[in-house]
Amino acid sequence: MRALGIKFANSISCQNTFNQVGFFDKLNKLDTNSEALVPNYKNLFQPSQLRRMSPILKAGLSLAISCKKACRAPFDSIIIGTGLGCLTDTGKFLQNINLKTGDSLSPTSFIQSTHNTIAGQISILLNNKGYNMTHSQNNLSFEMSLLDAMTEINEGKRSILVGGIDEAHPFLEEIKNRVVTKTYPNTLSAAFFVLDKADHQQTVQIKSVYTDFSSDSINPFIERVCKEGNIDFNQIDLVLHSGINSTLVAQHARSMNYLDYTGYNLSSSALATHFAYDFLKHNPNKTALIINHLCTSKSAIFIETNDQA
Amino acid sequence: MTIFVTGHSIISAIGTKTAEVHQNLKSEISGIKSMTVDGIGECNLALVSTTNEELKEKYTIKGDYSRTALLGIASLKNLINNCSLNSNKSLKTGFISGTSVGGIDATEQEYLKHLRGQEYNKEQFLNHSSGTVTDQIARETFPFDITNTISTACSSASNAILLAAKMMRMGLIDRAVVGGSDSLSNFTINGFKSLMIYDQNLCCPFDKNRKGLNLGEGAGYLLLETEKSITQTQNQPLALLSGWCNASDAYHQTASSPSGEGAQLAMQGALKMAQLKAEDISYINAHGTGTQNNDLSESTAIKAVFGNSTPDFSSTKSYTGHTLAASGGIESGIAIMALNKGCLYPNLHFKTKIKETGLTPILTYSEGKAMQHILSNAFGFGGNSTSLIFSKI
Repeated sequence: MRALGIKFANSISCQNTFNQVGFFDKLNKLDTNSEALVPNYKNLFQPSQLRRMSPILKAGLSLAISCKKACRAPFDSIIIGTGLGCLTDTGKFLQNINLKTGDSLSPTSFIQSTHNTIAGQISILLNNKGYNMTHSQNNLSFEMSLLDAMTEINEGKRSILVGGIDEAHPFLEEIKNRVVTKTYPNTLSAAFFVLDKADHQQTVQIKSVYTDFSSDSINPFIERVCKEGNIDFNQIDLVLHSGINSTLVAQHARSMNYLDYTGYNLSSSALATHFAYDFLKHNPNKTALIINHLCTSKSAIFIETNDQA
Repeated sequence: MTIFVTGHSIISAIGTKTAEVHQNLKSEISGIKSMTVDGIGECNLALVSTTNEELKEKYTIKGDYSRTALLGIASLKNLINNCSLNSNKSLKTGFISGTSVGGIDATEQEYLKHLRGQEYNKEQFLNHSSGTVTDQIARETFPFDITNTISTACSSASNAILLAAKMMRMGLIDRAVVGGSDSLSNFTINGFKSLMIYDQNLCCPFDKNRKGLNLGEGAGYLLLETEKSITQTQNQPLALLSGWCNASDAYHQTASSPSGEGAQLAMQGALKMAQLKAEDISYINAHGTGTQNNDLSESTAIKAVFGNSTPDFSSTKSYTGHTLAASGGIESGIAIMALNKGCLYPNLHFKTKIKETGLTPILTYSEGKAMQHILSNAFGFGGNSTSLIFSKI
C-alpha cells in the first residue's frame, strides 16, 4: 500500500465545513430537517450555468475550483467516487419520459445523468486532459477512489484530485426503511482532497485503506486491519464509524458515530475523512480510523499525522 | 510486470459463445434488428435474444435481478467454464465491472408507477445501484477478494480493465475478472433518442453518409492474470495486455473535440506504455459508433497518431450495436480473437470515405495476417477516452 499525503481538503455538507479549518470541535448532531449548507454559488457560476446544474454538480464543481485555487499545479488525475451518481437528473429525465408528448424530449437531464458527469465536467472546467475516473461501488465508492489514487501514485503521478460525493433526493425518503436506513436524514455531502505521494513535509496522510467484501462480522475485520497495520486499536486517538454495533468500538475511549454528523449517503465516509483530517491537522502525532460498514461491504481508512504541524 | 489475458467471454446480439461471435463476424451477420419500442416507435436495436427468464433457467440464477446483472452473471459463468478460475487462498482475485446505468432496467418502471401515483414495488429499488449489480454478479459466480464498479459511460469496461492492470502492478491483486455489462432500458433508449443520434437504418461507421448509432446490449469480460497467478492456475495465456491509457478530451459533455485530442492522448499513451511505435499496430478495433461526431473525430485522431500509414481498422458496432459500458469488454474479446486467429473483421455498410480524412475500414473478412499488436478504443461521455493494446504471446 502507498500512503497518500493530504495537501488540501474541503467539503460541502450539513455542517459548516466549506472553506473552514478547525471545525471538528464545533460539529453538531443533525436532525431530520438538516440540509446542506451550500456556498453562494452565484459567486462561482453564471446564472445561465446554474439553471442547468443539479445540486451534486454544483457542489462537485465548487469543490474542484477550491482545490485548484489552493494547489495551483494541474492535477495529474481526477478520481470521483459516487454511490448513486446524479440522482436529480436521472429522476428528472424519467419524469420527462413520463410527461413526453410527441417526439421531442430535452436531452439536458439525460446528458447530466451519467455517473461520470461530475468528473467529466471538472475536466472541462479546469481544461484537464489527464486520467479521469469514476467509481460507483455503493458505500465503498470513496475508498475505491483512494485505492485508485494509490495506483496512480504508483504509476508516477504526482497530484491527484479525489472526491467522494452523493446527493439527496426526495424519492429516497419514499423508499426509506427498504433501501436506505431509517435513522439518519438523507443528505448531500461532498468531500474533496488533493493527494500526493506522502513525503516527509506532509502533516496528515492516509496511511492505508482496507476493504472487505465477505459477510463476516465487524470485530474480526477491525482486529485484522489493526494487526496488518501494526496498530493497537485502543491507542487510536479517534475512531469514526458508520453507526456499527461493535463491542470493540463501544469500549473505545474516543469513538464517534459519524452518521450523526454527516447524515446518510453512500459517500459519507469521505466527509468523515475530512472531519478526521481537521481533527488531526490541529492535533499532531495522532492517529484516526474511519470504519465504514454502511452496507454489507466494509472498509477501514487509517489517517495519521507524523510531523509537528 | 507482465499481464496475461487467459480467458474471455462475450454475451451479445451476435452470440453468447465466442465461436458463435467469431462465425457471425466472419459471415457478416449483424445482430441489429428493427423493432417497435413503446413510446419511441421503429428503432434498430441489437438485443441479446435470450429473455430474462431464459437466462435465469439456463444459468441457474435464483435471484430477482436486473437484466444488467443477469447478462453479467451469464458472461462470468461462461468465462469460468472456459478457463480455470478456482478458489485459491494464495491468489488475491478482483472483480472490476463497468456499467453505465446499473439496474435501471429493473427500477425505471416502478419509478414511473410512483410518478403516476400508482402502487409500486419498493423492494425493486434494491437492484438499482451500479455497485449492487456488481455485487450480485460476484455473489452468483465467485468469492472475489475485492469488488469494484467503474461508471464512465461508454468507456467503463475498458477502464475496468486498466484499473485491474494498475492494481496488479501495485500488488493489490494477482488476477481479476474485468469488463462490463449493460442492458437496454427505456431510460437509455429515450436518452439517445433525445440526443438525436440514431440511424433509422443500419449504422455504417466511418461512412461519409453515416446518420448515427444503433444501441445494443450485452456483457464482455476478460480474465487477467499475473505471472505468479498463471504458474499456479496453469491457464494458457491468450494475449498480453501490454499498454493502456485513459485521458480526458476536456471539450464537451457529449461531443468529441474536432481534433479528437482525448483519443490521440489515449492512443499515444497506450503506445508509449507498451513501448511500441505507431507502425507496430496491426489492427485497430475502433470505437466507431456511426455518429457524425465520433467517427470524424476518431478518424482525425487516428490520422494524427498514425500518419499516412493507418493500420487496418474496423468498428464491430455494425454487428453488436453500441453496447455502451459493455463495449470495451466485448470489443477487447473480439480484438483477442482477431489477434489469435490472425483475422480481420469487416466494418459493415461502409460505402464512401469521409472527405476530411479519406480512411477506408476493413471491408472483407480475411485470415492469415501476422498480427503482433492490436489497439482497442473506447470513448465515453464527459470526454472519457481509453485505449488498450493487446499483444501476441
